[in-house]
Amino acid sequence: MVADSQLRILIRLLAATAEGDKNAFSRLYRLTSPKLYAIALRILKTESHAQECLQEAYLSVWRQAATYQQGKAAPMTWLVTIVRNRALDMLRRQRHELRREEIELDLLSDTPSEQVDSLAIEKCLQLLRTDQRECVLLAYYEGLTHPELADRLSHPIGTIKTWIRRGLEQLRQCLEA
Amino acid sequence: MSGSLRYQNPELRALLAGEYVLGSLHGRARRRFETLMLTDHVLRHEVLQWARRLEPLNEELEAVTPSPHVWTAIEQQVGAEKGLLWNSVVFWRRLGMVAAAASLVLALLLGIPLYQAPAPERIAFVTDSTDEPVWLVSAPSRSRTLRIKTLKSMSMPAGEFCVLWLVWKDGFNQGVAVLPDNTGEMTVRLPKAMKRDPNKAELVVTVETGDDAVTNMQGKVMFKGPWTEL
Repeated sequence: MVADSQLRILIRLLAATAEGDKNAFSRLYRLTSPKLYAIALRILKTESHAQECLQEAYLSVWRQAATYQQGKAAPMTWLVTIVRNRALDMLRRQRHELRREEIELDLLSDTPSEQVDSLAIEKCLQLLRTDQRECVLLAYYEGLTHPELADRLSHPIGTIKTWIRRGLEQLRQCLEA
Repeated sequence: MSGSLRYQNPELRALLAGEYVLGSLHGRARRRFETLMLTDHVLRHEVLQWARRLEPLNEELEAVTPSPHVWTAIEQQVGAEKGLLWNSVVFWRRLGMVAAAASLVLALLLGIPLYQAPAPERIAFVTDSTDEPVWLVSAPSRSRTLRIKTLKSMSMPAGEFCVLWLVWKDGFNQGVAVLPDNTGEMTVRLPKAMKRDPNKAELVVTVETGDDAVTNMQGKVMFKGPWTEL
């Protein structure tokens, strides 16, 4: 119910933003930026880069709101896609600046129990082999490419590719079941 | 050829779409995939489906409130854009790979008109200040023709035209065409007498007013950018 009314609010705010309503845009920012900022931060690692990403992404939202089509994607999917693509672009440009960090897989083991059952994807992820799950999540959260995943997980690229493909295929089957 | 055949395998397409959204598809493969998405609505649909499927992964992320100065910066830029006229210099933006990539992704999500033609070898997007592609210029492989597709209709003030030029490093320029302001597609053959390689030129768009619009570059440069090689 909550999700449903939030969906309607976001659709309304996007529609008002498209008409140049700055108050609506400001509200949209307040409601969605903490989540989007977390996504950018996760991929880009540093606050300054994540802030730059967020700024560029919301400018796109302001300019492109009129082209958002309800039927094609939920507002959050649309917003997340804009932020992720910005972040991945920035990451590719700045890749050489990135510091190597230890894998943070705590989110795999420390999932709050009340969320596990509420999310289909969580259930489906649990069905994957650990290495496949690690690969999929590292790629999604941190934007790692095949060679970087191979480096990080100390396995050949061929193995990484297979894990990702099998992982994705299984996820798709499970989510569509 | 084997490259394009690969993309006809439905299972592989679904997987590549997944890898594209995941972010693990990178470099040339990612660019090739983005180009394919331009002409392939089924692939775009596949990408959207993956974006939907994977988006719940973000539920796991704890929200982080960004510093207030991010909003201040956004607000200032939004304020500065108020009352922009189409022909203001700010309306146009230099095309960079980044702008092109962002446009591509938005374009495919939002379903811009498709480009229906043999696979081009080089493309360039002429974008406006909103990062939206207005024209797609493409050069088919081993050909002296350029294709121009209008992606977004523009209303030009009376007596003004957007003209596309090829400009080489030494400053030599070749007028290509007056860019169409309604949606549509045109093919331009470069003059035989012009021996230079169009692929080595930069694309420039100016706003011209005179009768010799395509032969004499006098107007303000509104856009300048390189080809993106596919």
